[in-house]
Amino acid sequence: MLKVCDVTKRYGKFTVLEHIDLEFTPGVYGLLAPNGAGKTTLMKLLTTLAFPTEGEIRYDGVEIRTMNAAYRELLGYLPQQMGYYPNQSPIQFLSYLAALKGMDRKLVPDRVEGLLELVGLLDVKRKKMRTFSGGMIQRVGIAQALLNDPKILILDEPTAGLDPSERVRFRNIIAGLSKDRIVILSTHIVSDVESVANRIVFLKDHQVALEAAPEEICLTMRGKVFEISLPDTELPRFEQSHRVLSIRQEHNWVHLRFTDGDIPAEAVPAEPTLEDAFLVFFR
Amino acid sequence: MSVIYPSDKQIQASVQNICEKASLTRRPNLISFLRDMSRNLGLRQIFTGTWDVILISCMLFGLAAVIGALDLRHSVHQLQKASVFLFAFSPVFLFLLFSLSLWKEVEGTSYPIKMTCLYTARHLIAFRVFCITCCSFAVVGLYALFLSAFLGLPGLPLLCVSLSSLFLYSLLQIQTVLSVRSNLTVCGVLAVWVFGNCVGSQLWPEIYWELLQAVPAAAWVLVDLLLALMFCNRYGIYVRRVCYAEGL
Repeated sequence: MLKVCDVTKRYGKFTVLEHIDLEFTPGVYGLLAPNGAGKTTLMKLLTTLAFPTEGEIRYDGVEIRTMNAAYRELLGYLPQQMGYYPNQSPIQFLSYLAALKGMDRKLVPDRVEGLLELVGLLDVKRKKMRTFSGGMIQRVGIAQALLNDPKILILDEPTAGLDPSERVRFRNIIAGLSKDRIVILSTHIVSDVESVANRIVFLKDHQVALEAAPEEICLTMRGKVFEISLPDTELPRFEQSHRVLSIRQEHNWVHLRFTDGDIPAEAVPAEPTLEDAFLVFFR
Repeated sequence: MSVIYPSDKQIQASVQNICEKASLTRRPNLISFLRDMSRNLGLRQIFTGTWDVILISCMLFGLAAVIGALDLRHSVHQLQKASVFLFAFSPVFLFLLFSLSLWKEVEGTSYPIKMTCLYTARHLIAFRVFCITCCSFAVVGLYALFLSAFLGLPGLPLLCVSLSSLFLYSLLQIQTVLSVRSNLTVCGVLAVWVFGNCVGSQLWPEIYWELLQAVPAAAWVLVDLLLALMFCNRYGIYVRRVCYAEGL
């Protein structure tokens, strides 16, 4: 179990994270927050790239700074910006990182091939990575994070640059991995975590504002989200009195999802989604 | 005959001591550590992405070496100046390589990934410095001998001074990169050493010369041998300590 105990992180006088208390057990955790809320800093603390100003992070009761290399052996990390050597092929790059991770040389070729197949890059395994698209680089990043079969997998904005089919593939990979490991996904794209995360953590004002299962979060919104169709000329007036969550234009009509304010008779209750909760929470 | 039996407290302490020692894992020595490292990484892997840095360091070092040799040719106190110059100049290649390598690693986008691997970017830099130090002994030694032939000076004192300086610097460099967490502090410590030598040799050459001259060539040989022993031993102990602390 990975436990974040009353962690505060400051850079000079600026507090990025304040009194964070979290417990991670095997499963997928979605860390949702708007940009600048401290997601990446929390990721850095969990990966020992930075250390808390106050508090500590423990894995199975041992402080991770004390564990040092032993902790890094358990870790798979995909940073927000995946660094790579453009002149290397995915095979060379993954083999290099496998060496840095101290993996047995004999096991590396099979492991690398398997991971490249998993992320759908087997047919370009010998191509130089400078010819790759952003999505392909991201997939190499996902493969490198899985190289050492990590017990703790930390992915910072992993779906950035992936097209819809790649996102689906990625979600399936994550779902398959979460059985016996801690997967922490940081993102501000709600749909990335909605279907795969067991628990959602909302970070707001540099603190943990909410930690719950997606269904529990959606339940709190039940009966509060409605749909309505209006002539588009009425939209500005409606927006003043209601909290509009989404708008879909169709000819001269707009289809709205909204919450708060007086409920018009034409409005029908809608099934709340995590995105609705996110929008309500962070507005 | 009276037999003095240990007290219960002493017995308990001894048992505790034995248990603690028995539970310690065997610390790998320097050779086995490097063997494991090279088996896992290999020399090509250790130097991945740093050939440009090595080339730049070689060019700058070569340029400074030629300028230094030409400048010394016309100086009055050649032996004094050559010794002072070599003491300050010998580790410059290591300093260049180390600084550029560290800067490149830290600025590189793969730095966060490398820092979360078993062998971090800092280990890589330390191994690079260790390998380059071994090569530098030959390069710096040859340069000292070339300088002595070029200027018509005795070779042994120059060689000894130059290698002593290299040993000292290399030891300091490897230790700081593995022990100090902040990159800024690491660079600060090493910059002080290099600048201290360079500025000191320029501002107080007489004191430097006195210092170097005070030790006869035979003593420098001894110092070199002792430093070599210390280097291997200290580094070995240090690596073992790091390995143990990191559970390698």
